[in-house]
Amino acid sequence: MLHPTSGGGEPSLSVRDLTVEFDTPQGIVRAVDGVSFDVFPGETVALVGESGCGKTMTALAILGLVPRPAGRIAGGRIRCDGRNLLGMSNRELRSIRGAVASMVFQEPASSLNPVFTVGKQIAGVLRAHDRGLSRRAARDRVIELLRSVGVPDAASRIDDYPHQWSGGMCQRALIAMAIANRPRLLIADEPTTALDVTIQAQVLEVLDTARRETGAATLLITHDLGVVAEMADRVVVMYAGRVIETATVDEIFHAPRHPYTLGLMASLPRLDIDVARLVPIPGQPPHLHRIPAGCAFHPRCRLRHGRSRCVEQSPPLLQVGPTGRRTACHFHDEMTTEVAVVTEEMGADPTVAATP
Amino acid sequence: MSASIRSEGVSHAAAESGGHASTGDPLLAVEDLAVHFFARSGLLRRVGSRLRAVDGVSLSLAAGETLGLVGESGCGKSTTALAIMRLVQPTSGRIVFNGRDLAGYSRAQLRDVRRGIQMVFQDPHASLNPRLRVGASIAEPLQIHGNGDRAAVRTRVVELLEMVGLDRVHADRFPHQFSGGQLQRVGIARALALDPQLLVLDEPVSALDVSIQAQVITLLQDLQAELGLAYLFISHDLSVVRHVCDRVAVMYLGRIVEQGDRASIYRRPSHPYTQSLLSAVPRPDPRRRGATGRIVLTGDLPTAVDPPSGCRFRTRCWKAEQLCAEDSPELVDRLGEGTLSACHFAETLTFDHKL
Repeated sequence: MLHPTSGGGEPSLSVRDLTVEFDTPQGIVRAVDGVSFDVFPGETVALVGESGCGKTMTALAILGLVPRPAGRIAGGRIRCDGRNLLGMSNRELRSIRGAVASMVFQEPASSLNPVFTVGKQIAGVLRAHDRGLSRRAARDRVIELLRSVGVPDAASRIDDYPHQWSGGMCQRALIAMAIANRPRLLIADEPTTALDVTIQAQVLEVLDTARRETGAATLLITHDLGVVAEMADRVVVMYAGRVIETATVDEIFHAPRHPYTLGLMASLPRLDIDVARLVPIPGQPPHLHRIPAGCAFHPRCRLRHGRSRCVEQSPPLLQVGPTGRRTACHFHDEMTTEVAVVTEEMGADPTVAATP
Repeated sequence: MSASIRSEGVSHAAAESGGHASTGDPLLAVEDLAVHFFARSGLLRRVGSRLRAVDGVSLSLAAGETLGLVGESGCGKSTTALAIMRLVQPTSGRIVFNGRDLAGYSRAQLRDVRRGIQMVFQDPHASLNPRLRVGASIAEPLQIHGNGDRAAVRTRVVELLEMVGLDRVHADRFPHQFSGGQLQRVGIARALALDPQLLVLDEPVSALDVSIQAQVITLLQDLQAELGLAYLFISHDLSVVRHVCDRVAVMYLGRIVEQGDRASIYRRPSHPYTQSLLSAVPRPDPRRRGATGRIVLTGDLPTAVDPPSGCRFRTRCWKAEQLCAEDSPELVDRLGEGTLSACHFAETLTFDHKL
């Protein structure tokens, strides 16, 4: 586990002030608004938040895949493996995608081409970035890759079509494809959301092995806090297009410093602790064309207590404490008390699941 | 543990009988239910095959109780729900609701029964008519069952909207004007219109974000406490089921493999499938990473067209022996602890969720 503080090297991915805008009938909306974070080699960073918070759009922006013409990157910088990705031509971006940075999508079945065999598709990715690779050698390498992601009988199943494979097997094939060229950055967008829990466990294991073997930096996009706790070294929490909290996985789960992060945890039914009653976040996430003034979370926030500062000033993402963690809440120093209040309501402390 | 998890007064019947619904007459008793689908394939469509979606399911539910039906996709849990609602035709078996067997009922006879059982679906966008104002959708069951004049129906619609945390102004809006969470509330209001005794909830919170999911779960718990409803709660999410259910039935490939009260199923599961399911759920606690003793199953779910002989789980089970291929294990109390288990080699594995 490499942390920015312990590693000290160059990040594999560095995102600064990223802003993505879309033209809509209601006007221009900001799907991503000034997002900054780093992912270091070998590290897994989880990008967390609910639907519409901008986490997937952040990932698409990194790979130059923001849907056009409605959407565009309106500002910021993205550096991957020392290269500036913004301002690259399509041709340059194509040489990056699949080789330097690659992505695993949520829906394995719709990410594979139904008319080509699984083997051909993975070999295509290999040969796209290595023209000198012979068909024979590519085939051997594909079998090796499929074996490494746990596909049984890889040598005979390489000629199957995607419909002959289950969802979990297709997701393995996509992971094999994503790591085929040993990328520096692997982006996994809800990689297990469409899978059953027993298959999810297999795929998470495969992802973790792939990360260890390739040493790639992993950006894991998920709404599932269980998966975050299982996989991530650091966590970036997003709300309404912005980063509202970022910290190590331990800090996030054991001492959240933003009321939205705590709200997510208090909303979660648990296997491991007895919760008398969930404490949901009231209301709905905002529409992007009607983002509340000041702190975007203020209409749903329990910590606000009617204070006008939350409506008037947008809280900047500031460092709190010595560890480098950051939070965007004016009243983050009240969070310890707030955890105690929520614990009282829930009949259990959502932040201290187990005493180690 | 059983009593401590629920909010107070939620499950009177279950709490009094120690989590078992077998005392007295159950509200719903499903006996040996089978739903087989017939598919034709081959060039001339002459090859018939039988898909055994549900194959001998028995369960019972007391008034005011919540029974969770869990399993992975394709295990037959939703088909079981649809058969109970008689939205698909059961191939065999009995569905006894309030002492009456619905399995052979005609449409006309069912209309009367449906006052008592209502269903909430996973995707509210798909289950509400997009061209009807939601007030009209909620009023529909009232009109079909001839409950009062227009003014009375309107009053009841407003009452139902307020019951689920919405407002009277919402009655005049169309489904597309609602968020997913609000629309699921509309689906619940509609299901409650005829004062049912039992709600069949098919993945009612699975399509919702976690903050909204918690809102709907607490709403369902409050409604149950207030109205004394029984819930058949169908879900693939083991954490949600643990939070809302008194008893749990675990399904695999058309059959129930384990059934018991919530505490026993989650703390001391005896069927290898239940054990692997529970061990696979990622815990939201980074300090316990890798400490859960995860049982990772090999392989995928076999097809229900050609299920394995004997025990259906044997092809993925680490305990399987010759006996498992020859003899289909009955769902019986094998360890004398009240939990029913369909495993020849049932033995409890303790999950100390609290540590």
